[in-house]
Amino acid sequence: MTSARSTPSIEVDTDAAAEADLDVPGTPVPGTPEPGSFKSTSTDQPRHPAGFGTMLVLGLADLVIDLAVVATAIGVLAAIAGLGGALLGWSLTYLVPWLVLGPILGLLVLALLPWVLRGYGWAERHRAAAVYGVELTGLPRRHTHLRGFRGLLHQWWLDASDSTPWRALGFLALSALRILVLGLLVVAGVGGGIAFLLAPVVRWQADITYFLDLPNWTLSVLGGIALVIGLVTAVGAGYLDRFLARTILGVSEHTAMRRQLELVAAQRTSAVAAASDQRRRIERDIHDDVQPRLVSIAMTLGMAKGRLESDPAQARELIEQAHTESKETLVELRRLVQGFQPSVLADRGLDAALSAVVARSPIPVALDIDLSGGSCSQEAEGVVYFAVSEALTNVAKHARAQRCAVSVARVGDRLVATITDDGIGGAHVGDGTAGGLAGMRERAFAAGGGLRLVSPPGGPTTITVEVPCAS
Amino acid sequence: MRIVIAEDSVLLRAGLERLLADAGHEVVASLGTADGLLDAVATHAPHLAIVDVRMPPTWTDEGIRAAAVLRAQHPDVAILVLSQYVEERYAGELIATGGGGLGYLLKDRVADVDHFLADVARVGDGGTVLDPEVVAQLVVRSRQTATLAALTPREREALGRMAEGRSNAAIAAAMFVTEGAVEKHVGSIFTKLGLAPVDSENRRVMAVLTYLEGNTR
Repeated sequence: MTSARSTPSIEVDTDAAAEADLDVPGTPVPGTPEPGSFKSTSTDQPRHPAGFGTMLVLGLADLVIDLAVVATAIGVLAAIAGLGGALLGWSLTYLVPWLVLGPILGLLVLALLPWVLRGYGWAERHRAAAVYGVELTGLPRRHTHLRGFRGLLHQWWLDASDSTPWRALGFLALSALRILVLGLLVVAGVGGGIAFLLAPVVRWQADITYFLDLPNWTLSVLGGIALVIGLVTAVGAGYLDRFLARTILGVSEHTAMRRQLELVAAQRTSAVAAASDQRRRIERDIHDDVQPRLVSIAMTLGMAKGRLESDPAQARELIEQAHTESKETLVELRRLVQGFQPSVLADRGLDAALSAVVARSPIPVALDIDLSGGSCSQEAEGVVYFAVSEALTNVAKHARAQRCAVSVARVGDRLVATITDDGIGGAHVGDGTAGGLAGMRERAFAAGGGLRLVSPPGGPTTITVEVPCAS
Repeated sequence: MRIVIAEDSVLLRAGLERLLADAGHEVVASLGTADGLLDAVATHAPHLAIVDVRMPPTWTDEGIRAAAVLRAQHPDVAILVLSQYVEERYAGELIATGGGGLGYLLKDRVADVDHFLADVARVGDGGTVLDPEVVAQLVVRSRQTATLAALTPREREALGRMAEGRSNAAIAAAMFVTEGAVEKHVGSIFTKLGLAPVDSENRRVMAVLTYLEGNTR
């Protein structure tokens, strides 16, 4: 198992790609289906016990569907084989292009295989749930933290090295075998049975002799036996399908839990990194901003004290200076302390807390908050609060923007904040232009959410933060 | 003026006592929690109560809640709320308690001694004083953006100072213009906002605050 999540702090993109991925675990990459949801209680037991009659119907229906699927698959394979044959024939005349085209086609098919199989496994799991009421737990998907082409490659490796696609392949192969063998048996049994049973009637009506001239009762018995064999096989096919789906497509709760544990461990690493990053910044701010100011005030007052007798006019001026400096220090300190955790966030919520943040911004900010969907957990609101705060600080420092818009809304069970400015763009998470956004991303990730930065050179810059409401 | 103080920081409490005594006020009681505030007010019948927002036991909004109760039970006692940081939401709750004699300031403002004492006197006289930071938040949160945008920059500045509770003279001094010019600005602001002219300074503050506050949520 590759530890894609174990070092989330180094997933920072330093190349020119201005767009960062929204690292929301559980958000499927477009085109690939979401693996089995973790919320559903994974159980191997059917929700409703299927009786013999139900299994008969289901088994027959499944066989018909699967026959169609396999027939399609065979058709496609035949088409590919035909195409291959044509290419081969063509390549005999044009050997050189084939040498180029062959590997390219091969690589393409190979590249897409894990994802196609993932999708197939996902569909089959859902079919098992719909048909048999068996909830199968898929292995939670691992998501890369790299971006751009490297991210694509890494994601491919993560998916390909997972057992999910290959279990789906195994299921496909066994299903095909099952359909070929049992399907033939069912068709033969049911078809033959009906033919034998109808034979006496047909023979009597049409007055013709066939079927070895067997007596009527023998035909009836043979037909009955064949029909029973066909129907029992159909039921068996259903049970076998369910068994295969359960054992191959689903993973045990233990395995799924272990994967989830890896994810949680990575989130915790992220949280620890974010916390220590914040501590470092607080230490640095106090050291660089507040302490020198206090030293300066003490110095100024010391000088004033020395001149109180000899030069009262200058002493007065120095005291005036120290007074001004101390007031500036108070402002600085307030700004600093507010970065910890404003109490209004705890007792009046995000809406109220953002007022002060937005009012502090030197650039005009349009604020739009819609929490009509209900408020969220304090952790989630905290993440969004600090992200907005950080983003506005960055806008003021680096963006050279004229205006800025902040919108916060609850979308479903997620809290989403978007901060847009009309500045120069070109910000990256991780370098100086996006300040503490790397830390912000860690926090968002630790809360089970993500942060996306879109900042093409020339602007505009958009930061999107989203966290699950009940993080 | 007879004053009661509720402030949990011993250092700041002592400083306030000295400062107020220096200015000729009488601090009749000073407490470390909001609990005894009502009793102290009932006992000493002060003109003004100075209340910190964050106090034991939870260090969140004790002061705001105590102010609301105080307002309900002793509407004649002026209240000055001091806070580490000011919040538009708290201000809204204080304003909603109604009446004059209300102040909400950052603790930092104490450092500007003369200014602070003037604010104390004004609140004690039944006036309203709001911290500039709170006013900035109110303006940002106001949904009346269209009308506010119609104001000239000078008018917006004058509006902000009105919301802080400044008199025409104080606004004139701060904006380096004559009182006559301020009166003109004020008249223009009231026309543009569609507010009826008011006679007293305190009712003017309330009109402006209600205007900004209204429809913010």
